[in-house]
Amino acid sequence: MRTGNWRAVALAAPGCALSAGLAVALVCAASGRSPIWPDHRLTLSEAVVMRADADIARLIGYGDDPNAPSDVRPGLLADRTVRVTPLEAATLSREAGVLEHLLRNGALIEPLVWNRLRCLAGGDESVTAVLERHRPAGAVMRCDDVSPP
Amino acid sequence: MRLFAQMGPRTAAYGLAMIIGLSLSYDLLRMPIQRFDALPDLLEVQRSPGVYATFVGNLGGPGSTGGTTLLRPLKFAGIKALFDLSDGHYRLAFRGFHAALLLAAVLLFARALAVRTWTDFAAASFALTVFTGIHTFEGTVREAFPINHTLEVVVFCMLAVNLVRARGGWLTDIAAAATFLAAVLTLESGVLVWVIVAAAWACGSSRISRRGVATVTGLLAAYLAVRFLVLSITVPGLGERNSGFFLRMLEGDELVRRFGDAPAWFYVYNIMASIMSVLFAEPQSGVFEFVHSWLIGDVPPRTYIAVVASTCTTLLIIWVGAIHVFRRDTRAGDDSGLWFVTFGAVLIANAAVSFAYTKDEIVAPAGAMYAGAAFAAARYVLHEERALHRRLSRVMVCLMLAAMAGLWAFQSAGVHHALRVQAFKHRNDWARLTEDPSAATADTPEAALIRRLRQDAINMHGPTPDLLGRWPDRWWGE
Repeated sequence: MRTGNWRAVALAAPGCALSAGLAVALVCAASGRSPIWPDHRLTLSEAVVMRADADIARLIGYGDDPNAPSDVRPGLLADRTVRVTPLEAATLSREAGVLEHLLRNGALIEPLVWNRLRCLAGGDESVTAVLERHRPAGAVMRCDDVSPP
Repeated sequence: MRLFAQMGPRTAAYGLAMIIGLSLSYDLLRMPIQRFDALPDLLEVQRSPGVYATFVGNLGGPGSTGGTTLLRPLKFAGIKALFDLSDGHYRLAFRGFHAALLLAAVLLFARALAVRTWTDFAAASFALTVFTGIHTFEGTVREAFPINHTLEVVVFCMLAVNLVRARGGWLTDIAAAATFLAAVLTLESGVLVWVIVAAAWACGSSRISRRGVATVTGLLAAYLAVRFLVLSITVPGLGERNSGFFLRMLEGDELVRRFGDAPAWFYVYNIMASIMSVLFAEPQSGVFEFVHSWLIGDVPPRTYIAVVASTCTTLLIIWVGAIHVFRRDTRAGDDSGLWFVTFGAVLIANAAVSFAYTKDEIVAPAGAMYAGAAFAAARYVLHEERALHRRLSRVMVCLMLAAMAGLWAFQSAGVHHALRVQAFKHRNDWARLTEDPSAATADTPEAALIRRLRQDAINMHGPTPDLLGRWPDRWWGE
């Protein structure tokens, strides 16, 4: 190969490789499995942890129970999969805004649930402020039997 | 490989451009209409009785959306036209139009390269990654208000470059005039179309006749006269928008406080910053990100990549450009001068137009022309046998070219990541829209539009960026 040909190959190879990869991605996308746009299919609790407000709104809109526990994949709340309610997920990930949103959109909070959440909140001021605003009658804070998931 | 060889270099270049353009267009179709900066314009056109009324209503003045500093009637008329044609399928209409614009920009750029040989193809492959990998390009795809008017100007500029290389004749002249008019009535930086036409004519490389150039120049003069003298539309003042200054962004009131007495110095900074941004990827939007990151002890890899790729390419362009000027060496084809001259002219003019505040996407037209200059420079290096053979090791040159091209290809790939992050943010912006309980059931067209756009955004699926790992943000940014 002539010198100029090697230079041309060196210059063109990255762009051609990129295009080849993109072509494969387009073909995969046509079959609904785009490698660039993977569908992570979050559970409601995962959406809470990830602050994916649109996914939270969509899942609740499609009928997901904001009080039901669901799995949270490893690496988000712990090194293993944990099963928590959306309210617990919001409390553990210190998302006060999401916590407020859940409580205003169907999540129920009774004294035992409130106690657990209040203990899990620890010293986080924004989360405890939300929980104090939504404190049910008769709720008492007692953390002896409360442990993180 | 046989299929590739049978294809021909020009077809192969178009094929490359099509793949790159289609993949980015697919990304755009996965994004909802953004809430911020787009919703007010949509509500505005919704209220307007028609396209003509929208056009006339945006010819400046207090009732115009642009007020007394912007003249963009065609931009808003276009939004109104798309809005009415969409028949309620807003995302499909606006994102579809955005995707079509993007594809047009990439294909027009590929056409303008006029690939004839496989050497040209190699340089075009490199140039396409520069075109889509430069940080100024990202601004034309990340946002849309709800049309990205900067991308429209890039398309108009690419049209102009194609017209100056066309067959010539009265049709070409008319097309050039129409392109200029459309561009300048869409966005102020549409004047860059005249810059391309004039610069090409000045260096003797234009197929637009002298009459055509005079017509476009006359239209420019008429535009300036009507804008400043008849409609009394001025330019954005100091402090109307935030802008970067050395190591941080300054708010509008701080800009007024610091430069209110002598704004000229700030304007000079903006012009120089815009020029440097295109040439060296630093500063970006007026902020010296590299320096700032260095001072805090954490320079992300994406900053190194951008600065190294741009600096190497700029040095290559300067070197080849100088050879072309001083040696008048046209070995690599007689259109290299066209690219160098028009790029230089557009760079200076684009920077001048963005004197009031710096923003990467404002200099997107200059970034597009930069890719053209990179094509011309790379093609020269591929043709050059004599000088490089003596002075530099063949292996070193190949490695340098591969590294430079690799960095641009990597940056081009990063645009896809930026778009999926942006899609996630746009969906969440809609979800966080505070809903007035009465508005949720209100029967007004405005409320119905907002509900429809919000529901469209929420119903879309897409990746969650934090689940992709930390490395994409470090290497590509968001």
